[in-house]
Amino acid sequence: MTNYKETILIVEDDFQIRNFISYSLRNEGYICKIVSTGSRAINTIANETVDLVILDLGLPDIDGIDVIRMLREWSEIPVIVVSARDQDREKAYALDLGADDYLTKPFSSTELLARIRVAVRHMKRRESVKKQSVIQVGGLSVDFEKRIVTLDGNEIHLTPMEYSLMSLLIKNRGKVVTTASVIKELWGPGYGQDTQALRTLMAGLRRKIEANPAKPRYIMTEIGVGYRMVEE
Amino acid sequence: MFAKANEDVGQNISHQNLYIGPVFIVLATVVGKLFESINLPETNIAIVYLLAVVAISIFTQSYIISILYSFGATLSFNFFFTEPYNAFAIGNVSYVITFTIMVTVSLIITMMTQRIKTSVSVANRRAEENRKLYIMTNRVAGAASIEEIIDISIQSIGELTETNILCAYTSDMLHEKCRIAQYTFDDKLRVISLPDSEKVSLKQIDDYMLELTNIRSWKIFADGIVSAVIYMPHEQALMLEESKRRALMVAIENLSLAMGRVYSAFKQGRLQQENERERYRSSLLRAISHDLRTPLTGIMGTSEMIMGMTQPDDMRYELAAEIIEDAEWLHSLMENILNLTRLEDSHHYLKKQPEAIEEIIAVVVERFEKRAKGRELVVNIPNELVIVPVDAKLIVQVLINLLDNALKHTTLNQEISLTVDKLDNAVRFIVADRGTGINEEDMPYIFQMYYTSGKQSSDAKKGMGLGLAICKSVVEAHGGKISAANRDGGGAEFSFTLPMEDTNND
Repeated sequence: MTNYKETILIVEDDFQIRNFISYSLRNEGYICKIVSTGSRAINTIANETVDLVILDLGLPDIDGIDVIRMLREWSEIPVIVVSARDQDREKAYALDLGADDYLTKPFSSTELLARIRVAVRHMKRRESVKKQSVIQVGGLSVDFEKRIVTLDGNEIHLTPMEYSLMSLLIKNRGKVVTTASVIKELWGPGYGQDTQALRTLMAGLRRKIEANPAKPRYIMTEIGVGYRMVEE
Repeated sequence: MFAKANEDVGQNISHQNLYIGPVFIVLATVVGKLFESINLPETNIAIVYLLAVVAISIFTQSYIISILYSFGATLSFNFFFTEPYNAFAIGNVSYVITFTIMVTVSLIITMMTQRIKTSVSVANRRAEENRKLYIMTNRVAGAASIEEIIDISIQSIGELTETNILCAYTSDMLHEKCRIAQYTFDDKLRVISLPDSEKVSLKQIDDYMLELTNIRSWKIFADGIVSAVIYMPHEQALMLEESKRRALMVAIENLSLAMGRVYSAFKQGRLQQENERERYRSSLLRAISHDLRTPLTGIMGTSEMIMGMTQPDDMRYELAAEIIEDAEWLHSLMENILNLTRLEDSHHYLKKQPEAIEEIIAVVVERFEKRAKGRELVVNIPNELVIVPVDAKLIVQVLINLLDNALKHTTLNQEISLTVDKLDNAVRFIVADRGTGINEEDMPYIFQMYYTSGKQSSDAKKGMGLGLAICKSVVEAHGGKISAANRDGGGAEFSFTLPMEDTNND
């Protein structure tokens, strides 16, 4: 495991972007495969060893969104979207379909590498531990069997809704959970897009776990898209 | 004399009817004489006269005439067939009974026939009114324009109520132009067009009409406002029978429904047009955004690659770093231009949702720290949760622009602060610094597009130019206000408010 370096598939039709992504990935020791169309991407993932996909949405043949949809029917491979589409709607859509992360162009390679590390960790965690009864993030820990949440060793009391929100985010730590999917998970489908209740719930939860809500340590806001629990 | 009586009752009877009475009485007398000559009893003759009375009341329209003829028939019987003959006198007492019964029977018959005839004519009139209403409804349903609907309706209402009608209405879809249609019983339909140059509102026409005391009016609501008013001379309105009044109300209701239908069809059409334009606009913006982002990614990434290949003391490292810096500047300029373009059609683009102020501030603080490493931002926000309907992404951009501006005008150890206050109906954001402050001569222009301080040369690229202009656009699109001032003790202060209530949403 120690020397294993992940194979990353870059799906991108712009030559220059492909070049610098593969350069910085190889610099970090990853193995790179490069394709420029959606159909070749699906073929490669199905037939070769690939651990992670970096996917551009504006591909010449199939829309990247459809690539995610097709992929998710049979594969759980981490997908990081890099796209020139800056609309929140597209972002949330890709995440809800199962993309692990979304980077809007232009981005720096440092940022991309950080996201790749998170996604890889995520994948490994998924492989090694099937079901964790206790999840720990920094000083925060959630015991799912006992339904106890502690912060720096002290138990904190959450309402049932706050507990549900907390478990949803901590189980998906490192990943953006979209506003729509939080609402659907907590209030059920048909509740629509009423964000007011969620904002209020989130404010209540943050007041219990964050020292300073203007500088959150645990739950980050992805404006217009959703929330993300930090990894450590 | 009878003709006079007719006129008084107000019924129009043809001349033919005037002669029917005497004709029948003469006929009855002739038949009576015939019966007398073959020695039939007088009772038969009396029956013949009764028959004549029935015939007369069938052919005559008026009670009074029929009643008069029934007396005439009795008198004629008395004159010709009872003793003393050829005189109006009663010889035998038993004739008193005969005459009384005869008069009574003929009166009853007259009244009954008249009543039947009245109800038949009422039924006929109702059927006619319903038919006219039905025709109006049908024609109006097929009409495509307001003018057409009004013309049909006014004509129908005039015919139904048999009165003179005037109708003032707004003929265009935006309720700006007024027209008048008139229906008079003799002239039929006439449309009076007001000259376009004279802009008269429906309200002005109505005020004028209401000053005429002998006018009755009905307002017609369509499209949520009064879009037509119908006028009728007061005395004619008072004379309207119950059934006509009812028909008028039905007609007005139909008219209002038909007008409403045309308005909503128009609105739907316009909405569709706007949606199409909006779709075109956003796909254009998306294409531009996409086409700029892709090469910027390439430029920045490739420069990073060069930096990674060279040592920091290498000249090429420095050059590549400068390329990145410029590309980042270009990127923020692009974001500003795109948002500004989107905001031109603000109420379409703004995606307001209830957002927590603390979340917006947290995102701003995070970005500030990434941009200005080592710089401290003093943050003051209310402890309580404040939720405001905003487009969060745009408000973040406003705050980032203001903080960028503050960074540009301060040195490393000069304080920058971000404060949020909750006011009565609004939230106020203040970005303050202890930097160089704003030149008094620049003060009136700082929110203008591409205005940079007069002291800088015009191609000094790092001037804010667009940044503050977009702040103003965003804040105003939210229904808020932005202002700038110099602080006591040095430095500048930018503050803006955002209303707590969602006011300008449709």
